[in-house]
Amino acid sequence: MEKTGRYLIVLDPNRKDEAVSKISAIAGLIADSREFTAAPEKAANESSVLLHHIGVAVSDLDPDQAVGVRNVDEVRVVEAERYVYAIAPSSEYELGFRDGVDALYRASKSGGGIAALLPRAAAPLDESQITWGLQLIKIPDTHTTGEGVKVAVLDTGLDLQHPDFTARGPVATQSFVSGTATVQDGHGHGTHCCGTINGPSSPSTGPRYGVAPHASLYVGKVLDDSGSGRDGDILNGINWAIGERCDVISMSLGAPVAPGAPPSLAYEQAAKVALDQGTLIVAAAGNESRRPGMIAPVGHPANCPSVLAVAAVDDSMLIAFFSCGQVGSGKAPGIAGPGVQIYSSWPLPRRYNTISGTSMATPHVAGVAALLVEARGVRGSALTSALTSSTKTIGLPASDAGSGLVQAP
Amino acid sequence: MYNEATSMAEKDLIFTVKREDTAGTAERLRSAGVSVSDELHNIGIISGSADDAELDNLRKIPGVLGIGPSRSIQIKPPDSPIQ
Repeated sequence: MEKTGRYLIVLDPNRKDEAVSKISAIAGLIADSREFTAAPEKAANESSVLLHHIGVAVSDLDPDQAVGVRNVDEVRVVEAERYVYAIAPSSEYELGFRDGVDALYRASKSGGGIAALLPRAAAPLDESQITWGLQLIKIPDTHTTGEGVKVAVLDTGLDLQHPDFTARGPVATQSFVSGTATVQDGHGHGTHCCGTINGPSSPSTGPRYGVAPHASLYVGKVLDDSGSGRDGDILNGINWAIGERCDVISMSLGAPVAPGAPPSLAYEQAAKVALDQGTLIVAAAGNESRRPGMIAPVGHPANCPSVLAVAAVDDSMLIAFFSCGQVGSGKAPGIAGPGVQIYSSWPLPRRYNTISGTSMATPHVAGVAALLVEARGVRGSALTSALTSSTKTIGLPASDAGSGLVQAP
Repeated sequence: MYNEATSMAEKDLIFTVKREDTAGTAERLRSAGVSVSDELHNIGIISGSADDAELDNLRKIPGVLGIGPSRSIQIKPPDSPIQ
């Protein structure tokens, strides 16, 4: 079969960076397709291009270099790129593969279109009006606001004096922390999460950061001001939110688990009862991964089958290095949300803060869940299905990001 | 009911129970020496504390589906870049 003179190098997806540096040492610098998103024409001069989102490098190699690259531990496969001709209907897959690789390669060489072919914005997203997270989950395009939908946030509470919340405050508040009567947030985490779900459409200053500004907010303080909480208090909060007939419970909290550890029977029963009564619990998958080297399992209680576990992606729609994923036969995250460099409300005097975590991805999903309740009237497990079937496919494995990036209706 | 020779180790516990019978199960747990702190009727959960050595007996009480420790959850401090 005719060769094109180029090679396809399939990289170990967990060790892409090491692979690239070793290949670069053998065959010259590999340009990362992501670097061309601001100036696509730069790609035209490169003899090797890394198609980051699919973990494949396309490179001009001489035969000696090809042997060298083949011996790199972090390289799975090196093969000469071929021209593939349609000889039978069964070759459709190969044709598609050829067309795909050719299109990506031509685009990178011609300098025109790789930015359009890859799921990254052409330039860093402009956050002067609305945060990047809200942009990527399509808040600017939705007509829904969460009107009439009840969302409970179980966390460190809310700064009740925050100017973005004083005008319309939470509908209900309840502290489950012993010795603490109010939900006043002395930490910041809860105020940040409440903001992502329910921040106003026009904040006192700065960009919009709230997904569902008209949702009815139920603030349950289950973590004390040092960020510590007990299972009993958190379950108490879930019990309260179900009693209040909340449509969604957002829990940006959790604890690491060992690989293979069974989920909590208590939380699973609570989450199952909740679903049956029309209340969906979404929870943070956890921040214990250190990618690309180490993927930690989805934590407690997000690892319960009836809880929707949320992974975090960045503004390139790549998985966050800390985001927990599926390990062995353990649970995979069900969905992903924006969770890197997230701007939201923070207790006074600071007022706003930008932080990262699956804790920040979770309220994006909870907020969109509220929008879906408003738009389609779906609740419980039907709401889970509505969320996971309307995601944007972003090329990440389901073991990392479930069905993909959450999208507003 | 406590044997003085047995070392007492009170432990915070979460009882998963038959939801429809949360109140009745809580009563039986109290009778068996559990100090019940919360009955969560919507979700069939009872929290309380009991002597560690009693766990096997408590598991046999009608309505009890499972017993686990009450764990603590700790999020990162406010100044942490990843939360």
